[in-house]
Amino acid sequence: MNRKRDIPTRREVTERIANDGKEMETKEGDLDRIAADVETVRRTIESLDFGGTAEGSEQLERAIEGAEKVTEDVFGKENENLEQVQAAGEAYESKMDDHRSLAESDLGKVSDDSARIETKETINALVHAKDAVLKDIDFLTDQVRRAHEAIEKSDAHQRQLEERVQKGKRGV
Amino acid sequence: MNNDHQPTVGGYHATEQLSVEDINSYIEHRRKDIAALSGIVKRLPKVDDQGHSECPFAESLYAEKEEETTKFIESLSKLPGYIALVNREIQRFKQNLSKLSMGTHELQLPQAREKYQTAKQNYEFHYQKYTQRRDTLVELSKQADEVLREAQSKKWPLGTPREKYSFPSLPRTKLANDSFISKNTNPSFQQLDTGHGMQNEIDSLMAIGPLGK
Repeated sequence: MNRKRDIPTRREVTERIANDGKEMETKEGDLDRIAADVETVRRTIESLDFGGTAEGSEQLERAIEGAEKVTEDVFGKENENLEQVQAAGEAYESKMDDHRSLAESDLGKVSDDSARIETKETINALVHAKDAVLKDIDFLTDQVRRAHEAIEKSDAHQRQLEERVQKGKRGV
Repeated sequence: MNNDHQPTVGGYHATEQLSVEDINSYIEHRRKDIAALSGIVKRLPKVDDQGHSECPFAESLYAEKEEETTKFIESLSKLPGYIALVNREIQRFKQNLSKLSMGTHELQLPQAREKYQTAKQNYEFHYQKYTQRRDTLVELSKQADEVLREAQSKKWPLGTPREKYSFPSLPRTKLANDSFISKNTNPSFQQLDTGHGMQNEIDSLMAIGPLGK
């Protein structure tokens, strides 16, 4: 039972997955604002009248294109940050899935043991242990599902945001 | 785009790009026109109702003034159109500045906002330059009207003046600004000074004596 030290408490698992979800949402919110900035800059470029005067027009076009590049670069960096949070969430989800597999394996062992034991007290203890392992499995299954859904939702949102930024890109 | 059917102002198609250098050049030319006509008008000799003057070339000078006035009116006719063209550019500057302000207000990233602010400041500088040039053009227009009024008020008393003398080797504007011409170095002036016809005319006038008042 030396692996027990690595196993987080149910509260820790719940909090960690909730925090990962919140962090992803925060990063998505940041990305959403940056994507809005990218769109604003592109709208400005579309709406500006670069005809007519020679003075200022080129300079203005370059400056606004510079603003577009800045927003795109910041979006890229923040997108990487989101991916890191998602990757950390996935790693945790995988870790919890491993714990669940171990719990399932433990459950098999408890079942095997209970088949060989005949004393009533021991059988009762094993039944309690089996219940506890089953509860762990249920809990971990639920948490893995929560973590997975949060990452999937974040992924879908991320794709939408990437499309928004990609869509208006000139020369694409 | 085919510019053939576009309205033109001062030789410019409405769709062409207009630079500050173009406007400066235009202003410079109009200033010269105004100075030239003003010089011609100021140098017009006094004449009585019968067209008598102490100056033997009075009628020629009046004829020259008429000719220059006609040219001046022609060049002046393009000025309002040119002002309109500059005004259109100013309008474009204003609209772009307003869009930049709107964008700056909407942006959340400080880096992007900073780019907009810098772009706006630079663009405002150009806007100011165009506004100043427009004001100069408007001022020139007023000066031109004034000079024109003065030129038109001084008329040859006997109707249309005939050009008795021609000064083929001297551009009219230079003649009007003869103070800038070095009599020693300008061959045209020497030609004028030493011409036999001119000398004869002066001798005849001297013989007649001063005009009666």
